[in-house]
Amino acid sequence: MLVNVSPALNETDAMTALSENPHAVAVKDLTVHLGETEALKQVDLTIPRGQWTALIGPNGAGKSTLLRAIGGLSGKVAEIELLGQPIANLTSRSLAQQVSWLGQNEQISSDISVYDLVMLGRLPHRPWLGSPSTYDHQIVGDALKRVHADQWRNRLISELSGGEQQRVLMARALAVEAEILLLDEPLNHLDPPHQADCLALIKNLTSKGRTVLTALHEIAMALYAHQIVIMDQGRVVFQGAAHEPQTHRAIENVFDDKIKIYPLRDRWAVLPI
Amino acid sequence: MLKLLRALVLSTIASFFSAGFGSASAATIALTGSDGQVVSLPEPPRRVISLLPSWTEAVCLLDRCDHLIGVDRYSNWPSTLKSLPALGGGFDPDIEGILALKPDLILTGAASKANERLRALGLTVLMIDAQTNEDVHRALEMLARVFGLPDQIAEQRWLQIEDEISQAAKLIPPSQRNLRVYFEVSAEPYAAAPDSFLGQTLSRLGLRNIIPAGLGSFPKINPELVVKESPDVIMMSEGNLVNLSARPGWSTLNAVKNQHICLFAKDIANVIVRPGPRMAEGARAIVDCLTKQVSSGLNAAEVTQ
Amino acid sequence: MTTGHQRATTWYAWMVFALLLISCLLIAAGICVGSTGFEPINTFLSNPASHDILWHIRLPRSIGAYLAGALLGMTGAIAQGLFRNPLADPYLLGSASGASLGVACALMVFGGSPFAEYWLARLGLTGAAFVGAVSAVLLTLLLARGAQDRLKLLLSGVIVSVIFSAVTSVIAFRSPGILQALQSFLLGSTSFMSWASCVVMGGVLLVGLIASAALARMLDALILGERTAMSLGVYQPVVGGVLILIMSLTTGAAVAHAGLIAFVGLVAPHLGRSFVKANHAKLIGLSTLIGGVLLLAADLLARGLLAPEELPVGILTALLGGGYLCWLMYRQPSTRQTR
Repeated sequence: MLVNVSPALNETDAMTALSENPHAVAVKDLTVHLGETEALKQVDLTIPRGQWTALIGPNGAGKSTLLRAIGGLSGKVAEIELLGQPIANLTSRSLAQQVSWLGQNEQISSDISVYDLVMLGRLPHRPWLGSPSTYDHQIVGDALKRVHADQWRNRLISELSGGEQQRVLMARALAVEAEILLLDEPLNHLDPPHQADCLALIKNLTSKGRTVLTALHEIAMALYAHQIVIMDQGRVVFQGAAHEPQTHRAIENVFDDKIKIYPLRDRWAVLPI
Repeated sequence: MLKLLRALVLSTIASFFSAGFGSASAATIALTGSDGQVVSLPEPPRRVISLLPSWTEAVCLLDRCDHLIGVDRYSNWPSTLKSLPALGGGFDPDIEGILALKPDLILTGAASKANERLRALGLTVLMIDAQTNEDVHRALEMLARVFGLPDQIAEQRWLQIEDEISQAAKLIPPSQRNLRVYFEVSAEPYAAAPDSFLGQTLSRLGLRNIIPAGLGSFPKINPELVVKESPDVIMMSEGNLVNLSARPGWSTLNAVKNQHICLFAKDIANVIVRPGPRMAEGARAIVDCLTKQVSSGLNAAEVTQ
Repeated sequence: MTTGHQRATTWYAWMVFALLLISCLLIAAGICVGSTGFEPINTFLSNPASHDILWHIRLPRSIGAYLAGALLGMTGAIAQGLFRNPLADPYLLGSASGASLGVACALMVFGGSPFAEYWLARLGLTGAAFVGAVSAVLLTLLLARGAQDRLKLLLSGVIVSVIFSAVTSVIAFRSPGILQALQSFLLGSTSFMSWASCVVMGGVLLVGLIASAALARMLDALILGERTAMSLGVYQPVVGGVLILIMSLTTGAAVAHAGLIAFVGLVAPHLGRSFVKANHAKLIGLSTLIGGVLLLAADLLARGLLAPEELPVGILTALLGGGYLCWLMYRQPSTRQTR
């Protein structure tokens, strides 16, 4: 199920970069208010580079809020650093080039073609006026192929099913070519085979040195990640490697022990009690 | 600044007329319209376009009918005007047609974009607004000055109109004096109040308006007021007639029960409502209707108040 | 570069060329249509009044109608992109009722104080309408506290529209004499346009086009949602607010000179979108040209159908625009079924 991809040249670049700056994202004492309530309370967090970190937790834990904050969507808060740089010091454009955010419930307001939709992902790199470059076209084509959506490139987005649209949106996020990907529930609407494809894609990205941070409610899927960060009621309650037993106990704990994680050869199954 | 200019202009005109029957041909004619714009002409205009029926009638009253080269679509008196081109309305005149006729002066009664445009095209526009009897008097004076006529002419004409109205008032039989009247101008209902032009005509004829003063010229009233005040006569234009007894409470009104309703044909109603030189004609139409009503038993003495 | 995109670009170029050609033809036709017919053209050289009619009335009217339509078409496309709603039109944020209120106020205070007369002489009814339109949009922005919340903005627009309409009605009620003047403004007409109007509208159109070119990327990104557009680095609510202010100027200029013209701002982007979808730079350009053509064509009909009487052009755009939208609505089911 895990796709074997031959290491590319940029993998060695990624390795050297890692030694210089091990953290992709550093969050220090972040508090975010959503209206009256505190959605995030004094969150301290570091996300390692070149790895896949999965955010899990009960509904309302603040996972989406944290992803939005890291993506600079709640204003450029001083408490967040990306690759060593406080995001407040970054222009919107350079921030957009470094971080790609895929939201959960974003409504698409116009009936555009799949190709044009994915091309919108190139906006952070394109000048204000002018046609897309050859390189832009190449990236868009690659992104579509990676999510197996190339055959729909001329179809209108409204003609596709929920799962198919989700894959196209993923391609859009990939087209940004950002080093850090923030994915909010990327497995929504996807059936198990395509969920597997998505996992393979994420593994591929990290093997090339990209950092992926996902918010997932599918715990079994999250356990494929390198790192797990558990959130509850606006706080980070645990951070650890996905394969370690104390991580599993912490996960069971945060869900009031209503679930149990069972080892299944070299992976895990998560079942309600 | 404008006030100073106005004073200057008026004193200049006054100085000319103090010399007797001033010969206007040697002097510039300068006037200020109701919109504050100063209008000046080197000599009395020979090609005049009127965009308000009242001013069309005023020009003809001053015997300058032959100077009219175009009128608006609503001007219908005198009937010799039928041969003149109709140039739209006061608010939406045919700018192109007006320009093609090369007028010396354009008379209008409305504030509108059209005036701005016509002036921008280099034409002379005199705007005169008339709401009351006195306004018509002043308009006649202004128009006389425009045509280089001595003030006396305007004064004569005005006195004539006044006289005709007094004569009309005398024609009202004694039993009809002080009748209480309700004049409905349009069906919403909008009524004529005492301070409107029409209200002034009614009081000149010695009739009492059931609408109190202070509500504006043509207030939109609650039909209940009419039921409460119970007028002796209801007056309206034929076009506005709806089934009056269908209005709540109106079937109990004396005026409705005894059919003391004056219905004026559309063109006569227009004359009655319009502040213009034919106000005497309007007054006569009202008197006509009242005298006819005598035969159907309309009697001021019958009324409770 | 894919051949699909090459084809799209040449197709677009041809569309623009065709629209420009049609525009020139319509303006030429505009010189021939008017209440005095062909007379001025025949006597152009001999009669100075004919020269005035053609040069000072018909030509500025035609160009002015085109520019007003272009302003409405452009603003409609921006509004539909910014509000992510294909039913948005330029009057969304209250500019129409603001302009009416401005005109009603001007007509009401007229003949009142010398102070009012002074300002009326300076501004004119055109200026009053413009000030009214822009003020209404500013009030909407103030009420919604900026352009962050799209829903709040739309709601504020509705509130301001309703309140301003009510105040206009009260003014008309108290001074029923202004009703006719107000109505003639509301129905729309190009008969008062001068070269000055063309210069003003042309200038505002230029400003609008420059702003559109700069912000077209933002409107493209907004297709994906406000947050996604922000994450792509091309959208901030503040910029949305600036765009709204520019829209108030363009709509205000169009309404001040042409009156309330319905449907052009709604239909032009719809027509444009049948040729171009995801690219707002192209869509706005197309919508601008289509809007100009639509209004000028309607104006020619208004002038010519019942010559020498003129129909108010707003009635024609309502009939034509309404008819088109009706057709659009009944056409939809057949396209949806193809899967």
